[in-house]
Amino acid sequence: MSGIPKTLPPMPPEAPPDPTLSPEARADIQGFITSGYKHLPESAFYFLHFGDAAGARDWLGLALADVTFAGSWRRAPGQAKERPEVAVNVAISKTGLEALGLPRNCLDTFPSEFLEGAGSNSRSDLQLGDTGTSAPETWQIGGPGTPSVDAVLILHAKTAESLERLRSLWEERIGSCHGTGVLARELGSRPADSKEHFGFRDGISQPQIKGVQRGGSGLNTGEFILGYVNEYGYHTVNPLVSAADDPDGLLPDSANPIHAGRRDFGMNGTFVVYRKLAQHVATFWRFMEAESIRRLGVADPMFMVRLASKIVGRWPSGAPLTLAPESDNPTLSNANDFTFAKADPVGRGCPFGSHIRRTGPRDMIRPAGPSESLRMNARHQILRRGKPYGPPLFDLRVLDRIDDLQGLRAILGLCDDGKDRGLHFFCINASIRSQFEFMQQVWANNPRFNGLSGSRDPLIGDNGRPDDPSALHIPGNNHDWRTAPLPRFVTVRGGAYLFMPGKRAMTFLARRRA
Amino acid sequence: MIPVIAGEETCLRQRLNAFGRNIKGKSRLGERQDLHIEFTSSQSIHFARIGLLEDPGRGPGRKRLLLATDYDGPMDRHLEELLSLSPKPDALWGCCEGYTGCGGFADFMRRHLVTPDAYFIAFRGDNLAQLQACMSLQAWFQKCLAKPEARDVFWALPALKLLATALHRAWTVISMPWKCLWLSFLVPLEFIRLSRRLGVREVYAAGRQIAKTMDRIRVIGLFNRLVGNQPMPAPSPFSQAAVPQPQPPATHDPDSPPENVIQQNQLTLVTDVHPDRLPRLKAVLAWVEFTARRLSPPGSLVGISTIHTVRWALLDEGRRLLMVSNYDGTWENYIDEFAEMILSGLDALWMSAPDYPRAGAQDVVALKQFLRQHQVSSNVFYSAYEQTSVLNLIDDRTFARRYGWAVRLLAKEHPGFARP
Repeated sequence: MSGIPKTLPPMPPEAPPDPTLSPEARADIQGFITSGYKHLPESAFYFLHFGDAAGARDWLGLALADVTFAGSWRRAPGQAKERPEVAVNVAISKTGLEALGLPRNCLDTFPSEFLEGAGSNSRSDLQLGDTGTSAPETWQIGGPGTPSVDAVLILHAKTAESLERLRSLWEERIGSCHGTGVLARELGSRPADSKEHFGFRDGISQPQIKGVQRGGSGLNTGEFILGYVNEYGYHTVNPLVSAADDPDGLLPDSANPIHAGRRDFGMNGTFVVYRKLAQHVATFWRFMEAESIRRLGVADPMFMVRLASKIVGRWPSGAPLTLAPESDNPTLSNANDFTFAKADPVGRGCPFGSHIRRTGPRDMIRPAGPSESLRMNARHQILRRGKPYGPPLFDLRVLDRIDDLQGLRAILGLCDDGKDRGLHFFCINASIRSQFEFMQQVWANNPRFNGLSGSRDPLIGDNGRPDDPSALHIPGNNHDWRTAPLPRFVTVRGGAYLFMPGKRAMTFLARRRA
Repeated sequence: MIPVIAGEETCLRQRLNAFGRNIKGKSRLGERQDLHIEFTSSQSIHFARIGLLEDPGRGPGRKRLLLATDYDGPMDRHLEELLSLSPKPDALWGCCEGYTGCGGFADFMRRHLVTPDAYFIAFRGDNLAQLQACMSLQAWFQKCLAKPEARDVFWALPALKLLATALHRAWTVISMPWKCLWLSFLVPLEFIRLSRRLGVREVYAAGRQIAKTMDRIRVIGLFNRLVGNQPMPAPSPFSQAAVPQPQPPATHDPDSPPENVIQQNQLTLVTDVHPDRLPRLKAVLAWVEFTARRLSPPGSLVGISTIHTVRWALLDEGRRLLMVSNYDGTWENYIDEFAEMILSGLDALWMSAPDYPRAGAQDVVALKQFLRQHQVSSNVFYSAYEQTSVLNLIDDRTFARRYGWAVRLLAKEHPGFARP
């Protein structure tokens, strides 16, 4: 639900030219990074644990033959795209790299947050929101009490049937790899209207990768793929392997002159953050109902939708509050080319505390000016590749017809049906610390973000803490108001920090001899 | 800055850490610690910090104790207060050389006083009680806003706010010419004053260096265009850092209280100064001091509003530079914001260090590595308002000064809205 506008001011000093990715580079980069696979709505995620190095290598070898890379889907210029029917992608954790026998000296060149892992105390201590019911100790996947997640197999397919076929093929293959076990099988599916479980259209604002876009718009490639120039104007600092460890010359030489003679293991790879986020839909809408009764004396569904939209920063259709402050406007459901400083300087449309204004503050990070804010914003973005799981609690389409008051009454008195639903959150970033963690810690979960006080992200923050209550401050045309303390609407049930290697790095790992 | 008696270092460090982790003074068993200063009872101390710095002048392994406080009022009263807040002063100061007991405490402290070469405090004109009054007014108003009746009680607030804002704007417009006139005298005057002390060449070059990337301040932008003061492009698109994340130095104290959390943080840095670059550094510090003292509006140092206080001091006859800062938010964010907003200022200050990144602060990964390598752990960190940011304080002050009278007036008659 975050994002940045398309145009950015020039960097001082001038950014070096960022060439479009070559066909060779595209053949090395996994397709999951460059494409959201919009045409493949069904997905499955296998969380794997390796028993021994040989089995792990066998599995990676099998995967390597099938992995979808970022090569163009257009066979020749002018021809129609030939989109793949299924997509297979692979990401590996620190323990997975160890199991695959990656040399210690290479592991040491990985960023510390990746080595520590998502479930370690030093990460959750950073106030990523993993407290109480979301603490790593309670996680189903990737917590300290569960076996380590060594790798994740990500499968995408067009239909449920083709996904089923792909799954049974991979179940069999994993079974044939000695010692390799499945810790968790998770399913995700993108609905046709892209609505997440609270009822809001999701995935509208995604940053673009400059090297993938024709015409070169978007953020510098190095923000999302290792080995390229990032928004600081510098090449990313990549994990390296000594030349002696790569006698067959499978990896490219490091382009950085200070690492001459070493091989670049990170090139065309990236980091992936996984979080299993359970959404408490009944709690969410019951809070809106309670606020309506508290403020108006009655449960008014229109008020509830309005308040929920203030929390998200967009209307259920996806229309941004900054552009449509008074009521939902479905013609703006894809609108993302907007900024705050001029259009919404005090948050009368989109409150400062709302989810989209925190995860994408665009041109207004107080007290910096618009151009500095845009640059800072651009340096801390993520590419979201999440998929919702579980059945919807109610017919989410009623939220798109807010003039049909009778239909809208479906959001009154919602009760939890005990079913698990939420989002398999995946995001892509070249630096977990500077992008995902920064966004989570400094913007979303910061009670004093942008001059606010006592206000964490109302949607995904670790609210509901009796010792440290959090509420949303809503500036109005005539008067401001503040919600009651917010409960927690999203619980973290699992997490992993993963590395998504390029083809050459995968080949290097799969062929390594113990 | 006080030398620690040889052999006492480890014990002192452990006891300071115990104090720092438990700033309110009660141990888990409810016993009062020996080594303790009751900062929380003070009505004049904004920030305090205690750390142990290397003392290379006295030999390897030797330490000196750094106590840095930001307080209201004269120093004599502050020293008296420090003494009265310590249940057992000897427990701390007895580990330091030259301490002769409570009687000579003020003299002892004065002997070891290091006056900063540059000092910035976000709200120079406000004492702790004034800031706390602004904060409590805002907290009370926010509580009121959560009540449904607030709309009826504060019905006239939008109109009154409009009135107050209009008055404020009018005052800004009227006072603008005087302000400009005042500054157009002040800056050249300061230039002359500094030039007589430090030499024209150094003072001009230091000013140029600081101003290089600050075009967003219009006057500086004009100056840069006039004299062709442009930043150098990056010499290489590759960072000189070997690893992507900065590593803590070998001297990092793993038992010191946690840092890098969302709340306020502290940073203590000690960097070496190349002797050839000392004159320039002195001029840079003089400019920073002038900017912080004379040109900074409340809560902002050249457009940065995450700094509560920061000071720089030259140590050991100019062989080292100490920086002590209290700031909002995370370490990463703090450095990122610096690198974005005052890149040339960072370069001007730390270009003096022999191991500063070759490309300067624009190589952010290497800059972070450099800063982490020189950071000294703080064993004790106290803030009088740890839940409040500089931005909050700016807003709270504006609110209290501009609209405080209006909200008080409107809430006066309503029993449910009485101020506690």
